[in-house]
Amino acid sequence: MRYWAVAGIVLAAYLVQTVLGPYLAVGGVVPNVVLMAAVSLGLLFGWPVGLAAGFCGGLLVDLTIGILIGSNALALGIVGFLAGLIEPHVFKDNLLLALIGGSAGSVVGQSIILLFQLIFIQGASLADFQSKLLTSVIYDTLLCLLIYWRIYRHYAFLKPDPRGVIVLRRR
Amino acid sequence: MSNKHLRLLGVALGTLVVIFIIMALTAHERSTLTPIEKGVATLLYPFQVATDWVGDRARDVADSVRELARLREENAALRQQVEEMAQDRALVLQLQAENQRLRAELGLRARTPHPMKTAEVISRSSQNWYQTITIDQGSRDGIRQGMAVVNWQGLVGKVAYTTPYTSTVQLISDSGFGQAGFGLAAKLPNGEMGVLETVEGGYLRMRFWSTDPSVEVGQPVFTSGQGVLPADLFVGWVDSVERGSSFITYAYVRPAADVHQLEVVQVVLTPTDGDRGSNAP
Repeated sequence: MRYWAVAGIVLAAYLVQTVLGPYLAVGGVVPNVVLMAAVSLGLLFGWPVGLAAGFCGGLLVDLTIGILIGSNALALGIVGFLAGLIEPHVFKDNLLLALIGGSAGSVVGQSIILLFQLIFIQGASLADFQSKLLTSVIYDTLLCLLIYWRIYRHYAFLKPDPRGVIVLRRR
Repeated sequence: MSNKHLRLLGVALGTLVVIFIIMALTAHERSTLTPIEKGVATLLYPFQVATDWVGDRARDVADSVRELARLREENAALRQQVEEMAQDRALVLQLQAENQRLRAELGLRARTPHPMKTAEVISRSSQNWYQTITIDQGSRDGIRQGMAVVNWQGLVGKVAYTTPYTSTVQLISDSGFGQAGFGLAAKLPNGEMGVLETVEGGYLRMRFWSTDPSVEVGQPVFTSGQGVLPADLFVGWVDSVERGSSFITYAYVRPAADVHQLEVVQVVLTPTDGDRGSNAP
C-alpha cells in the first residue's frame, strides 16, 4: 500500500475544501471533500485506511477552523471506519457503492458533528442543519462519485498486488 | 479477547477521551491559538493567497460575464428607446408637415379674396368608380352644392351634395367632374380660355375656345370664373399639348392637388344660384 499517495489524496482534499470550499459553495453549502475522500478510501482500501484518512483529514480541518477541535477528526474517522468495514463485502467497480456510501457518509458524518455541537456549544440548533442537509447530501454524493471514480482508476497504483505484476514480453 | 485487541480498545478509548477533552476546551471562544493551529494556518497561508488570486481572477471573469449580460440588457433597452425615439421623430415630422400644410392653408386663405371654410376629410369613397370625399362641414355651416373645394396645393373638387353636418365633394379626378355644362371653365395666365374635362389617369383635358391658342407646357391653369366655380383658383399645370387636325387644340393638365392625400380642405364660400341649400336625402 502506498501510504504516501493516500496521504497526498487526503492533503489534496483538505486543501480543496479549505481553500476552494467557499468558491465551490452551492446555496451556502460547502462540499465536504475530506469526508468524501475518507469514505472513498474506506470503501476501496478497508477500515484502517478509512479511519486514518478520516481522522487525519478531520483533524486538519479542525485545526483550520479552530473551534471544537476533534469533532471533525472523530466524525470523519468514524465514517471512514464504517465505510471501510463494508469494503470486503462489496464489488469496488460498482459506482452505486460510491453513491450509497457518499450519501450515507454525508448524513452520518454531519450528524455526528452536529451532535458534538449540540453537546459542547451553547446555542447550537438544528435549524441550519435541517435546512442544508438535503443540498449537502446531494452535493456530497456527487462529489463522492467523482472522488471514488478518480481514486478507483489508480487503485492498482495505490495498492499494488503483493504477488507482483506479471509482465508478458514478446521475444 | 486478546491483548492486541485490548490494547487497540484502550488506544481508541484513550483517543476518544483526549478528543472529548480537547473538544470541551475548544468549544468556547479563545483569545490565542495553539502552536499547532498557528503552524497549520501558516502552512495554509500560501495556498490561500494563491487561491485568493485565482478566485479574484475568476471573479473578474464572472463579473465580466455578468457585465456582458447587463450590457446586453441595456443594449436591448437602448434599442427599444431608439425605436421609440424614432417613432417620436416620425410623429414630430408628421406634425411638422401638418403644421406646414396648415400654415399653407392659412396662406391660401389670405391670398384668396373669397371667404373659406376649413373642413376635415372624414371619409373617402368606398367605391372605385366614384372619386369623392366626405368632409365634416355641412349645410348648417354654410356649405352649398357647387362650391369649390381647394387645399394649399390647388383645386380639389366641388361640393356635390350636402347634409346638415357633412358634405360630399366630387374630386377633380372623378370622371364626372368635367362634364360639359357644369361650367368648369379655365384659363391660362395669358388669357387663353377653354373648358376642362376629366380624362383617364387623373388628368384634365383643356379644350380651348380659340383655334390656335398660345399654350405651352408648364403653364399654370386657373379657373376662369365663368361657370359655377369662382375665378382664379389654381388648378394645375399644362403637362402636354395636342394639336388635332380639326383645328382643335387640347392641353393636358396635371392637377396640382394630390387628391389621394387629403386631410384638410377649404370650401370656398361663394354665393351660389339661389343659395339652394341642401340636396341631401
